Amino acid sequence: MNTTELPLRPDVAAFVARVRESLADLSDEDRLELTEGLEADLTDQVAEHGGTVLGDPEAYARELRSAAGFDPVPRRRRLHVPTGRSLAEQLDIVRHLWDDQVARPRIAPVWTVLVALRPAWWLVRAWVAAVAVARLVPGWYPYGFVWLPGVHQVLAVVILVVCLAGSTWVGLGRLWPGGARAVTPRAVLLALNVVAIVGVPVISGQLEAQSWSRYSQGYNEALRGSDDEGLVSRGQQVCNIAAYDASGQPLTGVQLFDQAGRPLDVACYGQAGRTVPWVLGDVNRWNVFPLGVRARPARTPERRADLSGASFPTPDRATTPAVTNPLVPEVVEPAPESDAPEGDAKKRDRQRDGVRQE
Amino acid sequence: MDQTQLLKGVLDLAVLAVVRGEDGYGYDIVRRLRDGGLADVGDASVYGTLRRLYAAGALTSYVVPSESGPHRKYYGITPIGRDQLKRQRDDWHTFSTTLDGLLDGPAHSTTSQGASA
Repeated sequence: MNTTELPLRPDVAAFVARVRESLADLSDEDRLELTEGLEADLTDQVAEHGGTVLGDPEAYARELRSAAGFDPVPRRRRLHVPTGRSLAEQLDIVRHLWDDQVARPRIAPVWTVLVALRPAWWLVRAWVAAVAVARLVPGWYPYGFVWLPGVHQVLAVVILVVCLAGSTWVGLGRLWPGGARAVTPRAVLLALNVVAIVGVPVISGQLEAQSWSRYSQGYNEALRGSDDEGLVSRGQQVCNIAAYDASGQPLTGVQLFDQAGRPLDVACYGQAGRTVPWVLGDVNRWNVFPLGVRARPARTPERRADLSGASFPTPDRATTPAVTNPLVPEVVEPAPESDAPEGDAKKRDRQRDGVRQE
Repeated sequence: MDQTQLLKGVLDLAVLAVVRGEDGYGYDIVRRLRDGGLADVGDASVYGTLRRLYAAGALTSYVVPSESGPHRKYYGITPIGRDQLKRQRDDWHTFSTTLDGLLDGPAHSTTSQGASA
């Protein structure tokens, strides 16, 4: 009877798969040796005697193991390291148990992926090492802690490249003092890897804390306003001021000072290039308004000397409504101190003490 | 008496005997054993024994691919296997002759043996 060409039945395939699972504790070689050809043999048997010939796969596996000289039931693999052996032997035993565990049919595919990702681990541990080294550099500060903590960028890149090369060489097994078999280097490498594993969340936690502190620092700075921002109105820098007297006539050459008598200088971005300051002797005054506006920005001192096309700004409205203040006696002539147009009334009230008018 | 218990000691010998003349795949060997009178032999026991004999060097094995079905694994005897077969066959003959003598011998002999023990 030629049964070589019988196709594999699904029930036979499932049965053999269960048998293989029951042999999972054996080595790949032993398992293959025991089950290679089993599909064909069982297919023949099922063809002769029907599907009922397939019994309990576990019992079948026990019989198979027993006859082949293995323990009938899988021994529970414990991660137990016998005492009284040298460190090298214990490392070997742990390594062997580990290899057995990851070779199990359900774990092996996942382990294969993890093994393929080993270079990523080399990168991560190189980064941990580089951070650790960078912290030893004098003048370390916690800013710029993304790639490396605060060392000079060139130095940071050099440290990272060196660590990455070292980590990769060690990973490839080409660089490790004493070779891969010597006990002390193995133990040290193991310990360093553990440190790196622990180091990742620690560094990551610091990173998060520092990015938060940087954020709050920046937030606070923005809230305070920094010293060189000049005059700020409603959160925006003031670049120029248009002054009117109480009767609504525009004024030119109004000098403004604060409550302490300090000049109310404006300092917008590019102020010097876009406006023409008033001059006291040879000193530019940025607290006298309105400032003249240049036709085009002048970024060099030479071009700033050229005033062609520059002029005082023309307000949207030539006049504002006349205003009164009960503190100021009503006079026919324009009151010299109440010069605020409507929109800036509050600010002008605050600044009134310091305002002088020509 | 349960044949399974008796077989445990001599399955190696039986398997070597049926592959002596011609190579065979797993179930083929099971069939030869059953056709030869060992009707109760378990196939898993035979496959396990084949593996053990192979590991001991008594058998050689090779896989024959099949176009449509699962691959077959054939076993053949090696010189080591032939030696083992010859040795174990002699052992068996000696053993069975002894046992025959015990079973067929005079009743008093058995009694005296039991008494002396």
